[in-house]
Amino acid sequence: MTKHVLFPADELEPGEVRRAEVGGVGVAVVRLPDGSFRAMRDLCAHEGARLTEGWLIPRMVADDVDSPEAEGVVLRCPWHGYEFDLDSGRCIADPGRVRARPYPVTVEDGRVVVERTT
Amino acid sequence: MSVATKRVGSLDETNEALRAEARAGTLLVDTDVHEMLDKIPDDLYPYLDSGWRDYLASSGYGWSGLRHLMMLPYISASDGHPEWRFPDGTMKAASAEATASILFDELGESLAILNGFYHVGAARSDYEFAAALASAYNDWQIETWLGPHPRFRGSAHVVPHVPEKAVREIDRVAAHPQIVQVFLPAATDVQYGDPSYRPIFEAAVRNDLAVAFHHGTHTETVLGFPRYWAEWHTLAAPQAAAGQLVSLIMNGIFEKYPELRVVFLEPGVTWLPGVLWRLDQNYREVRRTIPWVKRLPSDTIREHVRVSTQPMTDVTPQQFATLVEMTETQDVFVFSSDFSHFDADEAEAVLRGLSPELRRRLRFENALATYPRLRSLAG
Repeated sequence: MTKHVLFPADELEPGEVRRAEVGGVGVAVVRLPDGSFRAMRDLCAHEGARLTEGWLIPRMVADDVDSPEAEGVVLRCPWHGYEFDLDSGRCIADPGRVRARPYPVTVEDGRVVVERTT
Repeated sequence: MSVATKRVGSLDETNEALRAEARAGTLLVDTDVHEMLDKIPDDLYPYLDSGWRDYLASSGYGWSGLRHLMMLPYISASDGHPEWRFPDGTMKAASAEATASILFDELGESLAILNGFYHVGAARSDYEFAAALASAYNDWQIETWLGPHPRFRGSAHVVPHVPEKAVREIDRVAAHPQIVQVFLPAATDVQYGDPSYRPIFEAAVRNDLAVAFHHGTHTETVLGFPRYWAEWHTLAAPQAAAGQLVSLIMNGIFEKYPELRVVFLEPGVTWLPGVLWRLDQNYREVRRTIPWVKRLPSDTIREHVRVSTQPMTDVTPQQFATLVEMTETQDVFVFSSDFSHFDADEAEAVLRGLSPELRRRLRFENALATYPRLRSLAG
């Protein structure tokens, strides 16, 4: 794994998404509402859209038709709306078949650091 | 086992014989047989109280099942193979003994699930009268067909538009051990995913029954009743099945009732791939609008939904095998004859040319895994 030091962490507000080039690969860096970071390949496995051009939206969950509620957030593809879990990178609707590779991400010395095998 | 002994014995003895057939791989389950009332309305009188008897006497057939269409050829003498009629032209499907002889002795079937022709559950008015007729029909079915013939299994006919009555009827009729399913009309003006129908599915699960959907002469296409039977017979059944399947899945019925198994009868096989793929794709795109749905619809279909094979004449065996492979639906299809319509399928015509594994699945394995009350027959 190689550490790639990216931009200052405070450049990304909670709820914002930014694309970064990491070793020649596009990575979506996401800052969650709680201030923590996530990173995944900036590529929808469906038709290749950049996920950073989509939206960070509430993740809707429900036990039944009368109880939908928001629980956390997901990254939604701009083209067909596929939703990606920010921890696993898996498409919530089709986790076994559709995935954006997730990468470890930390903040070191005030800068976002993504680890990726090169 | 010789033909002469195949239909002799109690229910327990018959079930033991069926288990032996399953172990030998020769079991053949027919999921869609249409038994008929012999005399309408006389057959039902013994099972109705005096008030409803008077209603029935006043209305003749008791239910205007044909609605708008002439329904040629269904109402003509050409519906049904000539050998499936008595010399006087009446249908052998109105005789339990004659039907048993055809299915079990001549056609080599092991077990036949009865779905009737008298689908009063499809009535769109007079629900209490319809419910009384459904109960009478259930009693007639049990006494005339199931009791004397342990290789027949039956349906609990109900009127879904009065769910509380339907639930009481399911609980009542399920006391008979040969009832294996709740029969619902594949109506085109009702979406069974609506929460108001949940008590029916709950009752089915509570009583270890599957739920079957079948179109009828009440079933319209999405454009209403077409001008000709050929149009209706092309569209009504698969459109109704597709509509109800989508409704059940997108309204979370299978998440609500994880033990529920449903069977779509007689829509054919070729409609399923398009619906399955479209369902999956819409779920991937707008899951957030239906978050109570937890799985990819095609995975739910493979676990919970079965489709009977007739009419299989649209496709060659190779085309069907390719369809199954493309959609990964080896678990989904169950054999049905649709006895005694003119276009009924005989088993060998359906199974010929399929792989040994797919033949076994269609003959009995998928059916036994579907109907909770048949599971114990699996060898």
